[in-house]
Amino acid sequence: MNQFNRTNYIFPAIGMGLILSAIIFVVVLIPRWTFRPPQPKDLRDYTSQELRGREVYTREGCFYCHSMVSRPQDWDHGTKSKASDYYYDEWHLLGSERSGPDLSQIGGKFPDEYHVQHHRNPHSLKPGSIMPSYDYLSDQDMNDVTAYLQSLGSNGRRALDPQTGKLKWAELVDAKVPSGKIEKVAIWKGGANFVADRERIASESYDQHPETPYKYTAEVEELLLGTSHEAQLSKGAVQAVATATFPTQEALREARIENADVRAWTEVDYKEPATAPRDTVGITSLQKIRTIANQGRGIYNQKCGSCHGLTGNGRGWASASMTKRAANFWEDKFENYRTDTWYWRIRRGVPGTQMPRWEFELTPEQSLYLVAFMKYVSQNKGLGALKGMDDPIYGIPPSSAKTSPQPPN
Amino acid sequence: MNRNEGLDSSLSWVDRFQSWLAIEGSASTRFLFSGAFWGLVGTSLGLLAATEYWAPDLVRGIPQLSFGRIRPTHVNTVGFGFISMAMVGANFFVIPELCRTKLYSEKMANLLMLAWNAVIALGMFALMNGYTEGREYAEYPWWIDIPLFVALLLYIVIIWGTVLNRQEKQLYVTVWYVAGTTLWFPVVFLIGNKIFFSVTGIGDSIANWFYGHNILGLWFTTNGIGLTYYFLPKITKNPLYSHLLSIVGFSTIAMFYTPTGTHHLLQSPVPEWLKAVAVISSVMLLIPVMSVLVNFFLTMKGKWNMVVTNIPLRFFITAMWFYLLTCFTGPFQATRWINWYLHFTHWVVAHAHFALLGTFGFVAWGAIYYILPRVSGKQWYSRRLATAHYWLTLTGVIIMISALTVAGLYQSAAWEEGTPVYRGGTYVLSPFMATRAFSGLLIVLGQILLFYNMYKTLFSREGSIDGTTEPDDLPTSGGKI
Repeated sequence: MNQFNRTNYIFPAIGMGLILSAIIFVVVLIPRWTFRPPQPKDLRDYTSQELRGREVYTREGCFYCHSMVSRPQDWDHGTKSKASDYYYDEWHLLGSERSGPDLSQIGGKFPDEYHVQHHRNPHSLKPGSIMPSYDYLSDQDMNDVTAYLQSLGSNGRRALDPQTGKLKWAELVDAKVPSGKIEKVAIWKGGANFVADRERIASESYDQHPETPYKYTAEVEELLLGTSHEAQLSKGAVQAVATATFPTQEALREARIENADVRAWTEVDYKEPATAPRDTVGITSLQKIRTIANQGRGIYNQKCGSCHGLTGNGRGWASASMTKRAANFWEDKFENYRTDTWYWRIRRGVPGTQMPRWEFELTPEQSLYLVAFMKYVSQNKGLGALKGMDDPIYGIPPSSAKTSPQPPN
Repeated sequence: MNRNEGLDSSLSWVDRFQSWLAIEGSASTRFLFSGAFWGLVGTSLGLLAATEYWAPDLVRGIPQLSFGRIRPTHVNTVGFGFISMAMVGANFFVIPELCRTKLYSEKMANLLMLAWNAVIALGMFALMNGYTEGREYAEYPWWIDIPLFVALLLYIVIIWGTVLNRQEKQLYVTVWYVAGTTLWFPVVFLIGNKIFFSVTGIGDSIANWFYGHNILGLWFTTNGIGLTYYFLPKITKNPLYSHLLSIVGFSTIAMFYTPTGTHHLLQSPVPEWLKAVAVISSVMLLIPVMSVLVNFFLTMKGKWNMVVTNIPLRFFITAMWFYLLTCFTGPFQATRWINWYLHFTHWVVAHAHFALLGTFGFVAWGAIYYILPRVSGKQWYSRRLATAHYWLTLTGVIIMISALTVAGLYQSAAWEEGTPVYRGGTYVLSPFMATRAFSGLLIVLGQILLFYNMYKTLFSREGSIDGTTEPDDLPTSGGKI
């Protein structure tokens, strides 16, 4: 090998090395030195629980299906992500593919129990979802990852009011504390009373502050941002109260077991046979399900009909003025809803819409009758054989269903 | 065959191990064999993940097999296990040939093989048990990154030792690519894996995608293209069409591939100038790609009919057609407006499989089919199995890419319209996901055939069952592994 040949390769090699170094300098080092988003004024740091939840989120690979960036074109995901949103992140979780919804604004959209139930059994809340069940997570992991999810976004638990620097989620409400007394506690807006309070406060002056749905009168400021002493609790104490006052999964389960008989009837198929045996005498199963569904219809007419329409097609008179129209239960997707799903939607409402939380007004039993009616309406695309039945009075105790109305002749 | 043939059984196990390490040509074979093994494992993991897309609760209650853990395991196992090991094995055959010398150190290369296998196995264990850094393509935790980095350093020593000991004055294009890659990739690896360089916040995504795209650009592409530069002229016995084009392709690849990473973040809040640099260089990538492909396809002039009879050539040519398609859709989908529409959809997943499975997977398989008889001194056990492997894989890749592409267009159209596909009662992508899982089944079947064929070739005395005569210049020595 002579010297000439050597130089022939060495100079191009050095040249390429220099080009590569220059490019690395430009695209890796310069951004590192110059691109430093400022500490955000509308976000606090993670708590240790939220950080543990972030580790669980990473460990379970959630970010392979859920992205963590709300893009300009994502119309329904809330505020667009900005660089300072990621200030406290040690590693990024932006994701590269969305098989599920974006989670950058998930905090505050659903109550904690919704997340827990959704992680345990996604299909019970979203029929047809391809999210796998994560029921193998320990309770600790489940709570941590829920805390992490609730911390995200401009309505999450980490969100601060940029003007005062106080937590945006803190809210003073009357709540039953663990000892059983009713006290005024600071509570997160994604928890109990979320919909009611949000509507009440938002109606005061939404137009003056389009970027935040709350009016900053002295009274509301005290309510929301906590200038009073109750809200000066430490972050941890506030969170503890906020989670403790929610009904737990166990309580919900118990409520359903008490109504095991009614619940069993809600699990049956409500599809009317093509040729209905109209002349059957006595209590047949068809009569039974019609009777139970008709009980629910009484509740429905009083509570739901104004928006969803008396036949369940979503064309109630109140629906006309809504930005998000009331659901049309004749749509195919509702046929697949399970009892759990219906029950949950009725009891907890649908956050982000005007669907209220009926758990404050309906007993679990009444809700189950309503579930029966919803199943009947969605599976038969309308009132079907209930049309001719007497409209029972709302509030009849279930035992009176023994003297059931007869099907039409 | 007695695996210890030629080794004195009276020696202690340490000596026997050392002579096992020193068998000539064994490192290449063992690397190729490991590559095929990890290919089987990796594609099976991919099949499982694909099936979970269609049947989410398939393995309910087993955390190790849940989708979020299987997906990184699949990606890292096929990337670092299958494709990388097969390519390193091919380099250990090709570079000594081109330098007319022996591999610098067979022992070192075999130690590298053991270490690399250990890293991949340990990596699988780590990822399936939730030890992950959570950054795409860099999921391995630090206690796997560091051995892998040391392995890469060892690899530099072996390749450069061979190149510097060469008996041939001229350095062929393949040597530039392979020797260059050995130096570039460890740098990229260091930056991407937070070993000495770490950024927090959204800046981490820039570093992550710098690495994520350059593992393709400066590792798989440069190795795969370099190998094809060797194999095409070698198999067809045509001279390389243009030396000048190969210089153009080589010198522009490092220039235009390196800054493209940020095109994965076009709608994220990262600096706009960085996005502009990424988009421009992504489009400029057409220069190295075109120069390489024009060179390859013109080298094939008059010899296209060999694709029918020559199995390795068939794999290489298929790979290059896939490369053409990948590299034409790549710059196109990296531009802002197309990316606006296509980002976050299954289209991108299809593109990744186009590049890694369709192009570099096929290069790795072609290299395996070409090299194995020549280092082992044995004809392939069955040509028919090899043909079946080719057709199964090709069909699988085409079905997979079509299904994912259409699914991606579905998703993006739904987003544009404002009703994401995951809303509503049923998951409309389900049929596409079922099709994709089926295509995965075909690919896994192909891998089983390849592995069986390879095993029979290396470890049985039967010889070829259907009279394969593809390498007519089979070496008389060799065959030990």
